[in-house]
Formats: sequence, C-alpha cells, structure tokens
Amino acid sequence: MIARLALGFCWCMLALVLIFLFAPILIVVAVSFTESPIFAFPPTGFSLRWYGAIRNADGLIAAAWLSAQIALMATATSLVLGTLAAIAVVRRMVPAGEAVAAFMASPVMIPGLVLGIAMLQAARAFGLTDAYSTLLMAHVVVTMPFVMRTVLASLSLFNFDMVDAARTLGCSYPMALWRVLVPGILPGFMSGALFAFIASFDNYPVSIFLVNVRTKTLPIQLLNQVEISPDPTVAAVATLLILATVAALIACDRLVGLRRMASI
Amino acid sequence: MSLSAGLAEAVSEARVDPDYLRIEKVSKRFGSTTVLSDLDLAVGRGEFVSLLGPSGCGKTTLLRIVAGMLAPERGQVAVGGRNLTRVQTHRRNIGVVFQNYALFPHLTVAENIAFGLRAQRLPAALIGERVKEALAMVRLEDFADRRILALSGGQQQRVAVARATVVKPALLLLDEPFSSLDRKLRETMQIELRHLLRDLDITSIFVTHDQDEALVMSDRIAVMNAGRIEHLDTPARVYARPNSLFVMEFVGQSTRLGGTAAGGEHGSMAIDTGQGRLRAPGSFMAGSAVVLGIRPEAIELGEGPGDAFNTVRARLRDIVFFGARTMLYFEPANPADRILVDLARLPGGLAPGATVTLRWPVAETLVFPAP
Repeated sequence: MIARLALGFCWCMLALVLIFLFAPILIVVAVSFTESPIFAFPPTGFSLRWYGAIRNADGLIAAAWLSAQIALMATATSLVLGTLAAIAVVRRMVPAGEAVAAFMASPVMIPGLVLGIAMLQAARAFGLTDAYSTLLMAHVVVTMPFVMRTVLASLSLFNFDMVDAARTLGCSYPMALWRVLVPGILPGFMSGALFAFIASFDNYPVSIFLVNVRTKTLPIQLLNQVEISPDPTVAAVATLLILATVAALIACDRLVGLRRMASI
Repeated sequence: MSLSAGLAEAVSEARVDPDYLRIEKVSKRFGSTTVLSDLDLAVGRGEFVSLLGPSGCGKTTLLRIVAGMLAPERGQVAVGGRNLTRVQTHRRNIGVVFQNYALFPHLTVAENIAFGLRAQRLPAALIGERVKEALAMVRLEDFADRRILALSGGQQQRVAVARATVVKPALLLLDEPFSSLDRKLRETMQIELRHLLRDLDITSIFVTHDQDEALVMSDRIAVMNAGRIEHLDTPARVYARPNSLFVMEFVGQSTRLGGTAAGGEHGSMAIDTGQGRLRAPGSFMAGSAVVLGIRPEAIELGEGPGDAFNTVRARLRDIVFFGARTMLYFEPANPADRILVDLARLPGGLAPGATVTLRWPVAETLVFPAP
C-alpha cells in the first residue's frame, strides 16, 4: 500500500516537473498563432500573421542569419581545434595536458558577463574593431568547452591503435584521423557540435558587449524587438527555433542515435 | 606441403637473403629509462622470428620502431636493402596485426580488408577480387558484410590477419595476436596462422611473452631481456642450450641448483651443490658461484651406467599429472634450489615421500654464473 502511494507520488512529481519544463514552451507556441497583436495567453483566434510579420520586423532576418553564420563557424572551428587539442591531451603529446584541458573547458564556468567584458577589453587592446571577427572569436571560446568535454570523453574510449592500423595500411596521419577517428567518435562530435551550436546561437551575455548597430545577433535583436514592439512576432520566431531544434535532434537520431550521443 | 618441407624451404630462402630485415644499433629511451640499447637483429627473407620476453623488455617498443610508430634515438632499420629509419609509417609497406586487432567497427568485414587497397587507390574491380581472395584465405567468405562487433574473437583475428596481408606487405609484424583467445582456440589458430604466412611467403616478426607460442611458431626466437636480445637461435637450440640463466628460466622449466665451482680440467669441472658434488661441461674460476640447470626431461630415475652421469638422491614431494606427461617435484637440500623431473610414464609404486635416485648426462648439465 505504502509502495503504491510512493509510486503514485513519484508519478505526480514527474508530471509536475514536465509541466514546469514544457508549459512555457507550449504557451509560446500557442501565442505565436494568435490573431491579436497583444502577447497574451490564452491566444484569441488562429492566424499565421506573426510569421509573416517576421519578414517586416526590423533586422530580425539579418540577425538570425548573422547568428547562424557565427554559430556554424564557431562550432566548426571549435570542433577542429578542440579535437586536435583533445588528441594532444589524451595521447600525452604535451606536458600538463590535464591543465590544458581544464583551461580550455573553463569558459563555461566563468559568468558570461565577465567573459564578455574581458573579450571587449582584449579586442580593444589588440585594436580589433570589427564586430564580426570579434564575435566569432568570442564564440569559439564560448563553444570550446562543449566540444572539449564530449570529444575528450569519446577519445578516452577510442582505441588509438586503429589510427596506427590505418597508417600501416597506407594512410597519412591526417588521413587516418579523418577515415578512422572521425567516424569512431561521431556520436561525441554530434552531441558536442549540437551543444556548441546552441550555446553560440542563443548566447546573450558575451555577445552584448561585442555587437554594434549593424552587427547584431538574434538574441539581442529579439530583446530589442520585445522592447520596441511587444507583439507576438517574437513568439513566432521562438516557435521556429523550437521547430529547428526538434528537426536537429531527429537528424542526429537518424545519423548516430540519440542514445549513443547521450552516453557520451 | 608438409610442415618440415615448408621449414626447409623457408630456411633455404632465408639463406639467400639473410639480411632482409636489418636492425642496427637501435636505441630508445623514454625519459630516463633506456628501453632498447644498441640492439642488432637480422631476419632472413620469408623467416618467422619471435621476440620473446617478459613485459617491459622492450619487444613492443622494437616492433613499433620497425613499423615507424616510434622513432629510435639512434640506429637504423632497413627492409630489403631500403633504409626505412626516416620513412613515415604509411610509406613503409609494413603490415601489423595488433594485440586488440584494431579493426574498424564502423566498417564491415569486407570494408576492413579493403581499407589498405583503397588507400593505395587500386581500381575497384581489382579491390573486389583481392578482398574475395583474402576472405577465402581466412575462410570468412560468408561474413563479408558482417559488422566487426558481430564476430567472435577468432574470426576477428582472421580479419585482422587478412587486412594486414592483403596489401602484400614487405614485412608483417604481429603484436601478441593470440593473447585474447582462449587456450584451445589459440592452439588451433597458431598452427593455422603459421601455415598461412608460410603459404603467403611473408617475412614475419612476432611479439609474445608466451614461450609455448614462440616455440610452436618460430623459425628462430629472439629472447629479450632489459632492452637487449639475450639469445637468438632456433627454438630447439634456445630450449636445449640457453646461453644465459635468464633464457633458461624464461623458456621452459628446469631443475636449478646453486653451487660453487671446485676446479676441473679439459672443459669439465666439479661443482659443490646442496645435493653433493656434481660435474658439468665448461670452465669457471675455482670458488666462483654458479647455477646449474637441467631440463626436466633430461633426468631419469635410477643409477646411471658409468661416469657420464650426475647422480643425486632426493625425496619426492609431489606428483603432478599432465596427461601426456607427469611432472615430479622433489625436495632439494637447499630451499632456494628446485628439482623437477618430467616423465613420459610414471613407474608403479612411486608415491610422495619416497627417496629416489636421479641421474642425468653430464653433457646435458648447463652452467651459468650466479646472478
């Protein structure tokens, strides 16, 4: 009897937690289809007008495009540099490898504001005034910990004899990495890349110090939008982002399986 | 082709080109530990040579240097007259069968075998043909499209051998390829691999810490200790005439008696041991500490005829039955010593506790300086 009560209690808690996590998302999705120009729940009527309004909203498309570019390039750069660094650490090619790994994973533990101010100062000191390249560099720093963590975990399970085997079979070292190591740690790559992309794409605190009037990332532009015209356009954008995230998860599942990604 | 005919052939070919693989004065250190010191080794074409030694003796390091995965501090490696010391691994054309096989789990059996051929950019039709031949050679035709993880240990090993040999390497290196197989399978695979490599006529270096494996498979054995080759010879001679106490102890079992040289003449000398005065061939300074070694099957029960034999009396402690053979353990007078006798057939009425007379030919007594 007590066991059944306890079980029931657990189910209730689970339901509450799920509601707590998902209700805001569902509210945003629902609001995006409203007819009224007021951001309010429950929505009234049904229309796609706020999706059309995204095109006319000031700079939203441009900001989304910039964020996608920065996130893609920062993730790709982190993957290449992070993987090479992780190989050096795991294979003990450098002294104090553990310290190097900890250092490269540290930005995730530093408050974004601190990182943003530091980046701004550093860019000034080096005379770097171009917002685009400064943003890109900062986002490489922001995404690196996610890549390092997952790639290090995958590499520690990877059998490096396979790389040597590929070399004895006629592959140069870079070729052997590409043909054997990359497929071998693909799940780690995928989950690292996914987290890194998301971390860059929705980064606010670091980016806020580095953007200028013409170069704004999506999170910053969205907040502007809320301040200027608090209508359900932002809800429509958010819904599209949720859709994109779900699509990315499904794609990853098809490619390597979420179970394998989650196990890294 | 019978095994002995094959042996004769391999030996004659090795004579044609006895320096096919030439390792000269190779040294390697990791930090302050010297792993290999001025090591020389020459292997003939078509020969199968084992590097046998305890872990940490440098055998795997030597293998990795030959494959180009490690660079030696000094010395050089040449195969077929081509100096490979500065050549990168992927241009050496040296096949390796790894201890854990290092098969690629994201590829099928056939794709694993085709890997080296693809890296050489051979035409697809030729690759297909060669892979098919290789699969037939290791009897895995029906497994071409299987995943690696769906294979048993023995099958994985055959894939590893096929993958390493299908590219027709100038030299094949095998790094303890049997260590993860169970004993019965290991014995079958040893013979099978030996025949396969002989048919393919591939010069092979085989790293192992298992002396039985080395004795069964090799044309010659290089027994390694602390970064040097202590003894390089045929399995029969390494076993019967080990040239150091280490080699005697590492390869096979033996009776071991510590003693002191008590003088002698004409290449024969007397040694005082815990079992009394014994004789052995060789010459040592009188008074120097020595160790006598006798292989267990050289010893027989009973008094010897004439004076060509050493004779001792000892109390039987234990009888261990191995099927084809029986091992008798005796109590030596000196507890640091060891006396064991290997008999094909146990005489009736022999039981632990009995005191027995043992004899062995003086000529089969090995003498080494005491460590």
